[in-house]
Amino acid sequence: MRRATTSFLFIIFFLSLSLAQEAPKYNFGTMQQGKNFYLHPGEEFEIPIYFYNVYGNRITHVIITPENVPEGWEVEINPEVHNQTLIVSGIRTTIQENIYVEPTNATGDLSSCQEIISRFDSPGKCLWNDNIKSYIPAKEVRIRVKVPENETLGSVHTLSVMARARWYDITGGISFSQERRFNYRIMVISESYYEYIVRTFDLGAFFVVHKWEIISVVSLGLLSLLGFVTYRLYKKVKSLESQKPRKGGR
Amino acid sequence: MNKKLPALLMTAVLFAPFFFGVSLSDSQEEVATNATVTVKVFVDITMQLNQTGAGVDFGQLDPGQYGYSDNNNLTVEPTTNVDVDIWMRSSDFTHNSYTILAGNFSYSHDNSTWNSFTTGYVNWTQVSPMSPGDTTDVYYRVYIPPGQRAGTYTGTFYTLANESA
Repeated sequence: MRRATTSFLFIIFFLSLSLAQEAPKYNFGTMQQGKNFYLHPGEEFEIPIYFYNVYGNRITHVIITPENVPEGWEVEINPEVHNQTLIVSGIRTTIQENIYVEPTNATGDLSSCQEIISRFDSPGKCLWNDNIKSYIPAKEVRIRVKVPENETLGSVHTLSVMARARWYDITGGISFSQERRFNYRIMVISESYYEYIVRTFDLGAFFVVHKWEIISVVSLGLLSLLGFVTYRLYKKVKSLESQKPRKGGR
Repeated sequence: MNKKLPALLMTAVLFAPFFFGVSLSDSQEEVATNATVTVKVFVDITMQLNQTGAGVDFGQLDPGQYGYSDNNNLTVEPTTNVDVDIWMRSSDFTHNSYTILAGNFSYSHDNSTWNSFTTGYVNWTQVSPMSPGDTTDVYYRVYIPPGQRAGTYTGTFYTLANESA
């Protein structure tokens, strides 16, 4: 038993040593689901963003900040920013983050992906990626948006969320960070559907819409006039013919 | 009979535009239904440092001297399903109360065309836009201003990758 434990510790030691020796790969994968939303005044809505790390060999720490928040709107990130204590290369440090994303593998098998998700300590989802024909185990962050009750109907707002990824295997000097901005276009609409037509008289538009009716009426008028004139001429000719003296009459 | 024929012809002529108009209107009508579909946007970038251990190390430098990093890589991973623009910025580097401004640091894709960092994002036009599967080399350079106080300065290089407009 003791020999087995010693062997296990040896394996862990060499594995961590080989990982530390490996050149760092700082991977930051994200999936944005939806960019345009229609919300009504007073509505609360949650927008998910997914984070994954299938090509990296270091843990990615993510901090998320709302930007361009319209006045009076409420935006919250879940999980919230919290302190996280790390031991990096033997040095204890405390950082702030919303989530961390450990390196995982993409898999063609959904149940394998779900097994990975079940080991996450925050909500996750298996994302199908058609480019690599695999499921990606991803961690979920939800952006909760609340529109003020008095927001103007028809107003359009651009809300942004900035996600910053950092890696903490640096013993000093220069560190690296990746950032990604998620933009959302939100239109404020009425909760219930209604529609009415605003009528204003526009001669040009009236002609375009009713051109055949107008042409018909004008034609009708002209032809009526032509018919009337023709009829009067016809009557006139008839009356003149009737007044002509008959040949051979007494 | 002779009296009825002109009247019938006149009626036909009068109503012709109505029939003509209606039939033309019918042929121009279209029925359209609005539909939208949104494809989920995957963006996945890896920065690989081709050296073990701690980040980029320019080594021991004297004031007035340039220092160069090894070759690093930036890859748009195949899970990405859009073209991306790459933007770069840097913090100022500090040591106690001393600073090396971001503008003393540069980046390059070929180790010869250098772009000075700024503290605000600048589109890296030499490599943008990048498509899924693309990789670019990334070199870093620092210039230590004359009279710079000795010490180990720390700072951060930032990369912003967003869907190309």
